[in-house]
Formats: sequence, structure tokens, C-alpha cells
Amino acid sequence: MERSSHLQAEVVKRIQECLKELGFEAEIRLSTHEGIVHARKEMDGECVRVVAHITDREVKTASSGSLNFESARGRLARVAIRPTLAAQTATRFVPKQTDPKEQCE
Amino acid sequence: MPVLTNYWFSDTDFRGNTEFLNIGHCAGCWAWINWSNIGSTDSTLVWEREDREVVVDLPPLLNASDILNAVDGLLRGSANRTSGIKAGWIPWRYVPEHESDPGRHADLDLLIRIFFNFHVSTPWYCSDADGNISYYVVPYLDGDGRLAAYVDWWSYDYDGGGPFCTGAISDALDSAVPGGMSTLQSMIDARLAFFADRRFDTLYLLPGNGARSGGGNVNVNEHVSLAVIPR
Repeated sequence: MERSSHLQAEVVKRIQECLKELGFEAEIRLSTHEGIVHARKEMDGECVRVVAHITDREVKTASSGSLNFESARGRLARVAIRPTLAAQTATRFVPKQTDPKEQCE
Repeated sequence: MPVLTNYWFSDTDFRGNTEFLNIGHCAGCWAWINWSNIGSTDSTLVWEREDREVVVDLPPLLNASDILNAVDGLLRGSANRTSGIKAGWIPWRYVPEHESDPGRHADLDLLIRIFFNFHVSTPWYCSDADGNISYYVVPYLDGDGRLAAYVDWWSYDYDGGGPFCTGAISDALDSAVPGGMSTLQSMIDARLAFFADRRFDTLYLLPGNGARSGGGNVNVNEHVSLAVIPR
């Protein structure tokens, strides 16, 4: 990971230098897994935007986790009554099967 | 007078938009429900409620200023809470990534999902993100009939942050959200201390605020009450 971070920092820095040569005052953001170079410049009345992103991972936008196993087990051992719907069985409507009509011979 | 409460849910397994009707009736009498058009519903529950039932409506309790401040402090500026705190029920089988720990609970064991919405503002090169953070709580009575609860699970989920900012957003949430379990646990323990001297025979959850008369509509995913029967 350290090597990856170092590489990202190097790439970001070089891109920043390139952009500087082209007249862009680029800003950089570096974290453990990512580097971003971004700049905006007005050219011929137009706003030109540059963004470069380097990363060593795919990011999930959803995550979950739990109480650690020992604590959860300790808690569960104390549970005598808890809310559940397991005692009630939901009956789902099931269309009555009609016997297939006998086919004409 | 006992009350029969009937719930009709828009989704299977007792989830989603919930129509309810309370019918008070004398002991040993029928409770009548004539409802000619209940609409599109996929599951239903009935509960016979005793006179000595004690109901605690959870969302008002959870939106106390000390809890809201604790939640906002938890996010440490990485995200802004954009809703009040909601508390609905969720069967275990619908808890995100529950399949990673099969057998932790039974499929239809109910957890209280305590959650709120958030917004993350991002630099100009990304879209802003909106999502929700959830904690899943198991309420229970112990062998002596004491009321208790523990925070068992957490999750977050968001849209936006693309194309370059999801990493920073997820890093911030991964750092803040799990730590909220202990914060929430201490808040719950403080509330439950009010019940420390009491003993109960049973515990269940009710959709909505646990009203005992009339009827109405509530989303059980977002609003439940905790009910106990004193010993």
C-alpha cells in the first residue's frame, strides 16, 4: 500500500507540473488510496476544467458491519424474550390450481 | 377493555406502508373488523393487546436534543444530517449484508432500524452525495424480565459522489459510522435506566405510535413503538 501511495503521489505531482507548464494552477488531493489533480482556467471566454484521478481500489457506496462476535454472543446469551414474527406464519395467497383441461383427441 | 389491532402491510414479510385499525372489545366478545377495501396489501398481522400494555413511541424519544447532538458530532462534519432520526422495524432477512453472518438471528426476528438521512457536499468535480446511516438494535427482556437492548449492526448507503469522490466519502463514513455503535449504545443504556426497577412479562414491537383507538396509516419501516407487559 505504501508503494502504491508513493506512486500515486508521484503521478499526481507530475500531472500538476505538466498542467503548470500549460498555465493551469492545479490543486492536488492525496489520501492513502487516491490522488486527484484538479484545475480550472478561463480560455477564450470558456471555462476549461481538468481533473485527473488515480486510485488503487474500487469503492463501494454501501457498507455494513456488526458488533463483534464475543460481545454479540454475550448479549444473546442474556436474551429471554425478543420481538420476532417467527411465531406467526404469513399465509401467502396461492392461486388454486385448476386441473388442466383434458385435451381433445 | 382489550384492543384487537390489525395491520395490513404493503409489502411481504410485514414491511412498508401499513394500514392499521384498533377495535376495543369486551373480554369474551368478538372484535369486528369490516373493511371493504384495504387496497393492495401483501401481508397482515393481528395482535390482541392487554389493558396493562405500556407503549414507548420510539421516534420522539430518539429525536431528543442530546441524541441529535451526539449523532451530529459523530459525523464530524464529514456529512450533514438532513432528517430527523427514524425508527422502524426490519426483519433480520432484510438487514443489509445479513448473509455475511448466517444464523446470527432467525429470518423473521425483528430488529429496530434507527436511521437518518445525510448529505455530503463535494468539490466542483464531483456530484454531491445523499444517503442514509442505519443502526440495528435488538431489544429484549432478560431472564429476570429486565428491559435491555443492544446495537448489533450498522450500515450506510448513498448515491452520488461520482466520479471521483466516493473514495473520500466512504473513507469518512467507514471511520465514523462503526464508532457510532458505542455512542448509541450508551444513549440507549441511559434511557433504559429509567426502567431498571421494573420487570416485564413480554416485549413486542407495534407499527406506528401504538395508539389503541381508531385507525390510520404509517410506514413501519420508519416508525415503530416498543411495547411491554409489566409483571
